[in-house]
Amino acid sequence: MGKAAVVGYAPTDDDGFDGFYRREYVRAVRLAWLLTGSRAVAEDVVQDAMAGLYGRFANVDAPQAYLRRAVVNLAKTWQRDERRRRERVVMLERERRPVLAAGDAELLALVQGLRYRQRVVIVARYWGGWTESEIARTLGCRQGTVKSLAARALVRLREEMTR
Amino acid sequence: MTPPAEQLEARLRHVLDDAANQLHVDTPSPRSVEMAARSTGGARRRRAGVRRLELPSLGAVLAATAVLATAGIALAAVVLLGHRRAASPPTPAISQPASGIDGSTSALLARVRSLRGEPIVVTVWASWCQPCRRQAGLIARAAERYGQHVAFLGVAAGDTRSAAASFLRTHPLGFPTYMSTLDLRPLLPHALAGIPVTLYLGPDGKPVAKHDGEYVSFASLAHDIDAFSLHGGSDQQGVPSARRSGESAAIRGTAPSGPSPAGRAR
Repeated sequence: MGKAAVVGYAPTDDDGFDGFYRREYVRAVRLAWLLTGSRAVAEDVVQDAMAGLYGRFANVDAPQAYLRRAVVNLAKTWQRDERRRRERVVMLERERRPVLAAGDAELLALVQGLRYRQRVVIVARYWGGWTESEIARTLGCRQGTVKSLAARALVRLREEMTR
Repeated sequence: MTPPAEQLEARLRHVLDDAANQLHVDTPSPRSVEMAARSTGGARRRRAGVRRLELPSLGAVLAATAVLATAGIALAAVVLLGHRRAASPPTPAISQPASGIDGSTSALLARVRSLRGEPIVVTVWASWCQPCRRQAGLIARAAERYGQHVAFLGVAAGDTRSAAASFLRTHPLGFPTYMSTLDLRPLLPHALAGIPVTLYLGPDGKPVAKHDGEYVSFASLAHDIDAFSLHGGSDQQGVPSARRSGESAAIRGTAPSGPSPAGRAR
C-alpha cells in the first residue's frame, strides 16, 4: 500500500463504511501494533475504534483522522489497563515477534519503550508519514509540542543506542 | 558513537516499516464491527436520537411530514407486494435452520462426539444475560478467526427457543447453537452456577478448562484460544484465565481446595 493514500485525507468514502473498513483495517492494526506491541491488543483497539466510528460514519468529515485519533487514544487506554492486569507481558511472550536484524530489533524495542506521546510522534512521523499538524490534531496539542516531543524522543533513542 | 540525526531517522523509517509489514493481518468481516457497535453503542445512539428530535419547530414539522409520507408509501408497497408474494412458492430452505437453533442437548452431545479429535470451544449464553450480549460479538469474531483450527459450538442455556432464536438474529454467531439447561451433564460433571461460561473441550470431547464470566476484550479471549489451540486442546494449562478461576481443576477431576460447588464434582 502506498503511503500517499493513507497520508492524504482523500475523500474515497463513496462506498460507505464497509469500503472504508476494508481499506483502513490493516493499516490501523499495524499502527496500533507499533504503539502497543501486541497484535491481540492492536486488533481489539481497532475493532473498538471502528465500532465507535460505525454509527457516525456518515457525519464524520474525515474518517481517517477520526480513526487515527481513536486508535491512538484507545491504545493508550489499553496500555494502562494492560499494565494493571499484567496480562500484556504474557501476551507478548506468546506472540511472534517480527524477524529483524539484531540492531533493528533493539531500535524497535526502544521505540516501543518510549513514553506514550513520544512513541506516537515517532511512529506517526517515521512510519505513518503524518504531517506535524496531523500529529498535533491527533494528540490534541500544538505543533510546537509535537516538535519538542519528537526532539526529546530522538535524543532519548540516540542516548539509549549508544549505551 | 552517536548516530547522525539523518541516519537515525532513516533507520527509524526502515525498521518501523519492516516490522509493520511483517505483521500479517486478516481483515475480519465488517459485520463484526456492526455487532460490536450494536452491543456497546445502543445507549449512545438512543441519546443521539433524542437530540435529533430537538429540532427547531419548523424543521421538526417538515421532518415529521417527510417521515409520515415515507412510511405511508412504504406501507402501501408492503401491502401490494404481500398480495403478489402470497401466490408465489416459499423460499427454499438453506442449510442453517430458520431459527438458528440446531437442536437440544442430545444433538449437542452428538455433535461433540462427531468432532472427536478436534479441540472445541463451547460458549454458553442466554438471551436475557447482558454480559452474553456484550460478549457475542467477540465470540463471533473469534470463531471467524480461529474456526479453521478450533471448532465452535453455542449453547443457549436456561432460555426459551424463541428468545434464543431472536437473540441469534440480532447477534449471529456463525456456528451451530443448541438449547439446553444449566445442567450440561454428561458434558460437565456438575450444573453451571451462572453464565456466560466458555468451555474448552479437548480432542476426546472432555472439558479441560472453563472460563467463568464475560470476556471483556477480544485480546483476552484470543489469548485463551491461542493458548488452548497451541496445546492441541489437550492441556488446560493453556487457558490462563480459566486456571485462575479454580474451576478447571474440578473439571479435570481434581478436587480444588476449600469448599465450593465445584468441589463436589466427580
